[in-house]
Amino acid sequence: MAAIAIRIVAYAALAYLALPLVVLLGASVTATSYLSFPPRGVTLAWYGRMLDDPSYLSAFATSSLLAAAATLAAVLLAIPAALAIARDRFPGRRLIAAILMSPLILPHVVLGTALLQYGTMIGLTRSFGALLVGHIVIIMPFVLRAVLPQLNEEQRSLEEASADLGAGPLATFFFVTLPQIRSGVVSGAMFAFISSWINVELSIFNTTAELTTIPVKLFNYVQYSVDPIIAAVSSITILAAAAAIILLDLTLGLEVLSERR
Amino acid sequence: MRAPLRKILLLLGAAVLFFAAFFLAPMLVVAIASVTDADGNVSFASYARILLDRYHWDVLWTTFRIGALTTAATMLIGYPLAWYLVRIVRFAHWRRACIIMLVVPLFTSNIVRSFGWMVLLGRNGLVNDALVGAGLIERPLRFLGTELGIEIGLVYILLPFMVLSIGNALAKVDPLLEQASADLGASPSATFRTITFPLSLPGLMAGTVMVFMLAVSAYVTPALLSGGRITVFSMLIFQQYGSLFDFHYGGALSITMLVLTLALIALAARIGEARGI
Amino acid sequence: MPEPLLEISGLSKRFGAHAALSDITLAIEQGEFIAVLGPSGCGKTTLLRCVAGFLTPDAGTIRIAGAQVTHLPPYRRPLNTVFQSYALFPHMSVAANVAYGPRRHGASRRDAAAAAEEALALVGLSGLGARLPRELSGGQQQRVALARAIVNRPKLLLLDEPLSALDLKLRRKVQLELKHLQHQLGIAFVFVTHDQEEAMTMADRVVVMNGGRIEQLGTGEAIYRAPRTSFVAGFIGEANLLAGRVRAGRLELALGNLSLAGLDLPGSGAVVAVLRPENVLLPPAAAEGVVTAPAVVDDVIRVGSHALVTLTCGEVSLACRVSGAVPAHVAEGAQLLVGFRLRDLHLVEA
Repeated sequence: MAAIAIRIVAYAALAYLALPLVVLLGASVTATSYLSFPPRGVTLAWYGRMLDDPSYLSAFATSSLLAAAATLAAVLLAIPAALAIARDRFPGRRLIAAILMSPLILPHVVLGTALLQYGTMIGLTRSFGALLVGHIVIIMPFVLRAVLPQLNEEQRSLEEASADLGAGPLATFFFVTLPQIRSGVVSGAMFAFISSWINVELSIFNTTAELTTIPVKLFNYVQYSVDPIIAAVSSITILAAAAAIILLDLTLGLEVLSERR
Repeated sequence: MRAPLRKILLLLGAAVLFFAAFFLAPMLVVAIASVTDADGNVSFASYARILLDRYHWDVLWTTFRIGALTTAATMLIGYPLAWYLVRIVRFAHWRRACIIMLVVPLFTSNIVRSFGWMVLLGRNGLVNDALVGAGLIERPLRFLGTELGIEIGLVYILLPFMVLSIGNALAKVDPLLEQASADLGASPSATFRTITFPLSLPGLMAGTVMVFMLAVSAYVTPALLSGGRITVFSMLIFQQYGSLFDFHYGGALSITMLVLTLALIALAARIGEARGI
Repeated sequence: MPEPLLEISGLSKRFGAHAALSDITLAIEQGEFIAVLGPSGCGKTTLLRCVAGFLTPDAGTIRIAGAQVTHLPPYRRPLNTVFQSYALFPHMSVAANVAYGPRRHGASRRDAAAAAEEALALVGLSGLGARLPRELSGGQQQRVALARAIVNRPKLLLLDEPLSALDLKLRRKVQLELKHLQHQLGIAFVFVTHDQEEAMTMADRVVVMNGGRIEQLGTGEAIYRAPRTSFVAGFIGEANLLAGRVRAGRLELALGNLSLAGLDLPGSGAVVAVLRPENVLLPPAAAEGVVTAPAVVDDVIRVGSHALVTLTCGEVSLACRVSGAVPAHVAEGAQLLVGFRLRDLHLVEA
């Protein structure tokens, strides 16, 4: 029956989805000096090696700092922009909204290379700042997209009620608007943070030996040699991703995950 | 209602300025570079190179082929999985677990996911071991460095988008419509064919366009799984900027990819309109 | 006597701990217009869905034209449903919606289209076949839903509160048209509603449901005149429900502490006497069989053609309906006599 065939495909697809992650988690504990799955012997030595290596620790720090800074900037830029776009009619509103959202659908390679060329012209390359601006551009739309739908008619009448009761614009924003859009800000920020953390195509043009992110470090390493330490580093990111999803589910519910990317 | 211009400028100002400086300006620079030559004169030589060079047509065709096969595979795997999650799963906790399994890969870097496939698809990797062990093949097959290997990796990365898009559309189909269909005499398969599937089409098409766009512009996965034997469009762009430093040619390639992407989006929007959805 | 078209026997359905239907037994004849009436949650929609085949009952049987359908899927049952929300297929034109049933039963495209046109003409929507459902008004959508259901000429049509989304004036108009159509086509209608006026005006017989059970089944008039339970008495029309006891051949009412004889009294025990407001006499005529009692006027509400007077009589509140103008002395606080004819009292078990 069709239902059985569908179940078979579904189970196979779920296994397919889990497979690479399971393999990496498994290979990260192998006692052999080469990558093997199933692992032969179990040891946490590779995690130890990773923790002992200052370049990995520094890359983790850079990735996290970059993502945090970019997310903060994205939130600060997106919230006022969302307020203007959602509530006021002005000429060019749609065009501006489209431009601000467009990094979501444009190829990252194109954006990355464009920023490289532009950066060389204005002297902004191979620095934390150069990385930061690129990341802000590609993650801001996540916050914008999550917050805009929450600024709807209902929201507007709450703000009008607040004004009617004597609150000025700033007070209305902090006491009425902000609490209402909180879940959009949080889920948007979460997507933004993660998108920045895992990015390769933008970061790769502005990293150096000293200033690099985990994804770029892995990308470079993997082209030359393959050993279990990569599996260990990868596993950390996998576990962090799982933790982030579960946290998101527990606090905001999984419906928020029907967002794309 | 025209709100005071000053207030709008204040709210939008930072975002717009930032985007003008670090998004529009770089794109403009690339566009200009694509139509100039090394001496600074206006020249369409770069575009001519793309159009006339046999190698690029090959790369474009390869990229397109990989993209199309990847998209087809995600559709064929994605629809049943979406159906399973939306229609068949009864136990809420299991559905949540499945969705988590679907989304965790999305939150992991492309490089990590592609690396996982590098391990799986290698000569001594799990896939070959399983095939040999099951007696299906005698010697290990080469997956890395083949289009199939890249497609396996890309399908992995893009499947969640397709499933979420279709799943959303399926979940929105009003069960009353299917009951009405049954009431009027349609068997379950007729109801699927005439009611449920057509109503899920917007999600299927949105997913298809998105997956295809992401597949043809993908960089990390093809770069890692190509083993140096296959080149796709994004790798070409990358070469110009990363090693060859030909910004004019690179610019032309970038603009071409950009135009292709925008055309796909416009096409998707037209189709969405035509269906009245 | 031809066999009934629809026979429901001992139907029961539980949802968890909640008994949605308890032992429902009902028979409907060909060409009848039956209204299933009751408050929200009484089980009327559950009953409809069991008959249509969207729910499987826990116990009991359903037979249509003598054949057992209890476990048949909906697409095999010889009936059609008009849904409360119409459930028109949004991606198909009006004509395609109406032609859907015939097509699924194997009709050619041309035959199905012709049948659809005919059905649309019957409901007064000729010429709208090419439109999409969302381009139509609520009233028009309702007619399309109806056309879609009757095009198959089912013997039995189930209608789940089909008029509830329409405004009052439109509803009245459609009620008349539906009744006319039903007569014209000779299809048996099972019409679920919570609006008792609607049920009483349209139906040949009314089934009153409450808490998953059938309280009473009969013509509208019979139910109004002789309600069998205090629920039916209170649900249908306005009623004064007077608590009382039957003791030693007399009826004792709290109303002014009356003790009445000469009534057809059930054995003994607690009863409820049903007195319709229009049968409360103000002033009471002194005549045989008329009971009077002193009362105080609480409130007078004039509604154009009639007035509703609320009085306190003894410890009990009475509602009285007066046609035409109300005499001037009937004002708030006034003390006067009210009365009723003994034979207008209808007794039900408490």
